[in-house]
Amino acid sequence: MRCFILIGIHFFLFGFSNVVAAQKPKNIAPSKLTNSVYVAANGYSETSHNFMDTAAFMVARKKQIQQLLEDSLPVKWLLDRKNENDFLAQQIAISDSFFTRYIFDRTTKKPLWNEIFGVSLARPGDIRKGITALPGSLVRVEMYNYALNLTTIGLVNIFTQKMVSVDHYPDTQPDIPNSLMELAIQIAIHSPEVEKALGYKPSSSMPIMTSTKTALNRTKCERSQHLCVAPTFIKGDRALWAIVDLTDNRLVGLRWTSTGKDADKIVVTERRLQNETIADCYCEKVNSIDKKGWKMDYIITGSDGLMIQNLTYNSKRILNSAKLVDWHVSYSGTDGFGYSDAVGCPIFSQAAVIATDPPKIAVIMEQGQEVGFMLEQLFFSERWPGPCNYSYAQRYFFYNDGRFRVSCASMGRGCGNNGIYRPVFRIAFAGNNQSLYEWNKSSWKLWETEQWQLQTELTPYHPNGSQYLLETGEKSGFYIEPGKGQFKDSGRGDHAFFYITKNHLDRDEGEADLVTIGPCCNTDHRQGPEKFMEPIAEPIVNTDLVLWYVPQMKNDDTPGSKYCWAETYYENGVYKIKTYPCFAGPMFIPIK
Amino acid sequence: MGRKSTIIILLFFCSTFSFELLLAQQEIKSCQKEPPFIRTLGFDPLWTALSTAEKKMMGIVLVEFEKKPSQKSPTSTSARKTYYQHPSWVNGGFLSTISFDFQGNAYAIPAPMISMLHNSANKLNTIYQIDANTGIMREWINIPFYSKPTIRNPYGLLGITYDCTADILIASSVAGSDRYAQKGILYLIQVGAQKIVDTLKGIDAMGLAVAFDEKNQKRLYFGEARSGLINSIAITSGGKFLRKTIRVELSLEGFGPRGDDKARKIKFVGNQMQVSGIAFNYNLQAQSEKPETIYTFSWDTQTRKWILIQLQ
Repeated sequence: MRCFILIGIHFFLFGFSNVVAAQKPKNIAPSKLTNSVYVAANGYSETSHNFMDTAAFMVARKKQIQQLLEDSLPVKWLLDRKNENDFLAQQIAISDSFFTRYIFDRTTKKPLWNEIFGVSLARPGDIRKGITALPGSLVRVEMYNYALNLTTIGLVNIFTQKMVSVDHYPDTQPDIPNSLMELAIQIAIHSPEVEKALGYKPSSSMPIMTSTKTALNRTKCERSQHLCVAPTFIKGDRALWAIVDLTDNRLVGLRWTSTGKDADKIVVTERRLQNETIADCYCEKVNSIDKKGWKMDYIITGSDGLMIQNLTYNSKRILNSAKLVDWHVSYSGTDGFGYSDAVGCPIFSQAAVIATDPPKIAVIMEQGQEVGFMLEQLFFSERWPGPCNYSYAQRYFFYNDGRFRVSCASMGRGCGNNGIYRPVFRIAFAGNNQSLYEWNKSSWKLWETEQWQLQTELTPYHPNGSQYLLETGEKSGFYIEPGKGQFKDSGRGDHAFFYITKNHLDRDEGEADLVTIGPCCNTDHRQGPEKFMEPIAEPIVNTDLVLWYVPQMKNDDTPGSKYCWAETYYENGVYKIKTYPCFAGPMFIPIK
Repeated sequence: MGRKSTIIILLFFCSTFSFELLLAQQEIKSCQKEPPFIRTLGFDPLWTALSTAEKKMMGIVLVEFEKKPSQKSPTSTSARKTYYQHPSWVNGGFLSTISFDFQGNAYAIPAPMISMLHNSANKLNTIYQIDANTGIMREWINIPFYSKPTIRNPYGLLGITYDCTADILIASSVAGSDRYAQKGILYLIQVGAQKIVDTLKGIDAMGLAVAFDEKNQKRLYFGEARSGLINSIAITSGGKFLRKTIRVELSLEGFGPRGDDKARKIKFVGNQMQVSGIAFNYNLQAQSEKPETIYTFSWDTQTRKWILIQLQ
């Protein structure tokens, strides 16, 4: 199976009233076969998504959850057996306050989504020392809490009708009941991605074809912490694992494995699927875009984020490359406490915060008009939005009129509410006859040697909003407009350090994947790019240049003004994540 | 963020090697000796620990725990009272796994934390030693790079363990390995001579431990860094790998809350094998924020297989 991406149907840019629609980038590198397909969280094709929403089994499932959350005890009983003792055991368990300790949110008391997965006679290992009971009287009741990814196991004496013991196991999932097996198979066989991979549409009857069997493999969604299983379709000497998320009720992705003697030694999980897809299709393969006059290549780097290369507009070369070298995060409460995070590929990389979803391309709409498109990449820590975990976004905007913007955001949550984020952009324009000017209240002033400058409250801007002018040739170039809170993406201003350095073509001036360029916690201009202008600032008139741009964003967890922040919130019996991104980055406006 | 490193509670035992014929796989009794410098500094060795896992502290730290009348000895979660750090203990940047020899010398290996800022790529194959008497840390051995570290793999040494029966330090390096080629090497290093006496190439390993197998043969147990497999290989009393004896002991695949854990640490307690499993993907994601699961396996003499008996 070839690399391809299935991307968001419609999603809204943070803070924009922009609607964006899925696009499919074209691979230009030599094709390489891969075995994995990852379906991003909002990544169904429109057909699949619509069908899944309206399919009878999904409607029934959602209705069931809604009804459950309105009950006094939000626990779905296991009703697929007619055994009276099974029913009695559940009744005893659910009446026990310790067994039901976590079925409501501990703070808000809102109902969480719980389900009894199993009722069975107690196993010898379940019976602790000191517990005595008549043979056959002890019954094990297993309950799963979808919101907390928590399993509760109760031991019930159905003769005395008392609870004998209760244990709660975080991050643990019991074997699923038949009803969920059927649901998982329904989701899998109705997913177009499965049909495409198998080459035919599997039917709901099992076995699906005389030559094909299906089985339900155990798997893990270790990143989302959701309940997942993998209906597995055997075709010839290969097995197609379809990982299904039963918390979100969606297909996570597909993976072919061989059915040889070592087949059972590999468990296909969400993380493995994501890592392989990103590595195969975006870290080891250059992709390209040709759209609205813009052409470019892009790749996820080992530690410099999503890099665009060879950018042209109407056949004119604009950029050699642009990338995000580092994220410096410092905390004001503790001297020298913070991190230098690199973002990049999920495996075999120096990235601390990694790409788990494919890049997205989206249309930019303004006032109902399509005015350009955006290329976006997200990066995550494993336990985000937990404390001391991070998520970052990178966005490149390309407008139909030749403007483009390089931006990024932190989405928290970090180690405290006193953090300052300083991402380090490296932007290399094309051409070897570049000069840089700064707006000096009344005219453009030429910068003659390498230097840096901080954007402050007193910074003067040209009437068109720009602070700098990069001349890239005779009568060509770009105005550079830093963020001042004007981009309607929730950004509050960049307060950016801006550096310009000479690009020596005979040595690496940061073009290759850079190791960490600077420490976490310098509060001044020493963020790393200054190294390229030491020991002596070189002349920079009519030559090759590199722009470095380091905005500064202070996080905030104050209700009503959260910024560079993320938190979980309650919705329909489970927890979801809300982000408050702090976008920053300059706009480049072509000289007309 | 932080990293998954090591905290060694200094419960020292004098060496009493057990060589009786065993029916099950069996631990080698510890021969760790109390480093004299701890007493010299005025600390109680029982209530101190060497740690590479203290937040906001680079290198190795001597942690003094608060004594509690109800406890005979501290645990890794006991309340910290004070910290001591000799200036030389930060020279290696961020470090991880600590091993002791029978004289009380401590050995540690580099472990980049989140970035390479404090760990030079050139030193990723360097084992550091804290002298038992002086408490000063120095570069003990710079293992030559069979394959140079690359931007795609920020790791060199990933594991060390000490073989009390032969005064051999065993180290594992994954320097230069990439997604498609395992270029890792297992090293047997004679401590007294400070000399590499044997190597096993083509293996990326992380957790290491030495124990006796069911036939009383000494084996190195090693967890693969790119899968959940734990393998073993016999070692001669003279300190050589018996290359044809490599075998698979067990796999962590599918076990635990994640299902894709790799063995970060292996420890034998009697005839049980305790494995600390974490996610590991050759990147610089903060190890300490990764949940760790302790898997306890027991050797079943009937089926001659390891049986998972506990997860925690």
